[in-house]
Amino acid sequence: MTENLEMQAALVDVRKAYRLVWAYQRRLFDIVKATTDEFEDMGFYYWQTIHTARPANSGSSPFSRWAWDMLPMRRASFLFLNGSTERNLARKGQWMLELHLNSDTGFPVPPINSEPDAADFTPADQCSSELTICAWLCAEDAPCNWFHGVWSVTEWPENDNEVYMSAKPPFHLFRRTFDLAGLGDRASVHAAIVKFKADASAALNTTLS
Amino acid sequence: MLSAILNGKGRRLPETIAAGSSLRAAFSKSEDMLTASVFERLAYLDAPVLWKLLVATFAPRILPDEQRVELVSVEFWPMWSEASNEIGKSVEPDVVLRLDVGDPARRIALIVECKLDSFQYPDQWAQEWKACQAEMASSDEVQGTYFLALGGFRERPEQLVSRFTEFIRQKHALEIKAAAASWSDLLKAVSRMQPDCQRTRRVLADIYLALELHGFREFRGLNDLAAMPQFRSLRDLDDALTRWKTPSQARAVRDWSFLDSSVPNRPITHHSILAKHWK
Repeated sequence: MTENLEMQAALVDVRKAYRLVWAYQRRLFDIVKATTDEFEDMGFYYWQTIHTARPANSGSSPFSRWAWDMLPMRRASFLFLNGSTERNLARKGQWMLELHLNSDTGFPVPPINSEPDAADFTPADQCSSELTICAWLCAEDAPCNWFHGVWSVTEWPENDNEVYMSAKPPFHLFRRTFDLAGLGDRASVHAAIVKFKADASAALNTTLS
Repeated sequence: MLSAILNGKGRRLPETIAAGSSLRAAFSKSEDMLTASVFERLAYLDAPVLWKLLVATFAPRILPDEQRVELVSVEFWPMWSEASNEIGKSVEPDVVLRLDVGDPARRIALIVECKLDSFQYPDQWAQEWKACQAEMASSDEVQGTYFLALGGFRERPEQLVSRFTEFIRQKHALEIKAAAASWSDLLKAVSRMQPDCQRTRRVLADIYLALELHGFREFRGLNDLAAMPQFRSLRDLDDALTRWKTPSQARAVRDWSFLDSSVPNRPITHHSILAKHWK
């Protein structure tokens, strides 16, 4: 009987957690859109989950996959390109905007094929939720696809606020990480992006617009 | 967009658009494209839905709350010249909707003046009102006119309307029935509609996207989350998770079954690549 009550209470928590996650994701969408609005003609290009796969297609069984796959916004990157950028040709001076969401820094980098168990994570109140913005500036013309030929094969900058130079493909990267706790309203999002734009432009010796 | 092009709008790109820019960039800066995109789609709505949306959007609430509504016509950028002697020029309101409302039906005209990157100004309202009266005088079917200002102001709509109508009363000796809304007001009204009909939902979704493309967005900040009391009482989930910890044996079986799969349903390459990316 007690166990049943405990289970009921736990499932109440599950329902609350789903609702909370929905509310969180709904707001994350708005933050992403407000961020891209700060740039000229920046349209959605690609998105990719990190360390997990996207949810299974309708005809594929999800049950042999990780349960994490059903929580794609736990960690994901969203890529944006200017409307005049060709998808399969990177030209010098063109750039790609990446918004990388890490909803829980307590999620460890998983060994391949071993699904992380949330019970092993660092307690949630000792972790953070972060949004990293990264500018991918093309340094030389390169006949490559921006996702498969650039994003997927290029190392990320190890640190924030430093320019990372990739020779192949020829790209310069600059990233900055924001704690989502500091991006609570539109004004704070705006201020963060304005500062990022200015600092990334200076670091990359270009004008990110 | 189609109406804008058919009516001679967007003949050339604005000078602010650089050569080689995307159509999206050109489109998203154009008041005429926004006007056409929104009102073309509004005209696809069933008239009672359209009316409900307009009533919810514009303030002050001057549009009567009617259930019976028929959309008679929609005109984009009509050129009105009947009052050109008095005004000194022809005028071109952005959109004119004619509707039959109420029972018995009463035909009304809605003059819509849209602004994107410029401001509403009262003399334009007065000119369009006068021109409309002159145009409608040649046909006796319109029994009421309303002026709707969309975008192009920063104060509250009621304040704008009060200020402008008083100015027009003083300067032009005209009593006009006006209401105003920002594009964001329209966006909010669209997002709050809850139609049962699939077709209506699709049209409203399109209007929402058109507004978003022009930079009008709803924004719910994360600050709201902290203010949602229904989520504040989550128990210590870390404890619950420990209790529900997945048995390692079950995990091993699951991992093995994945590895044994002849068609991997997990993109292994992504894992190895992304593990490299994200340390």
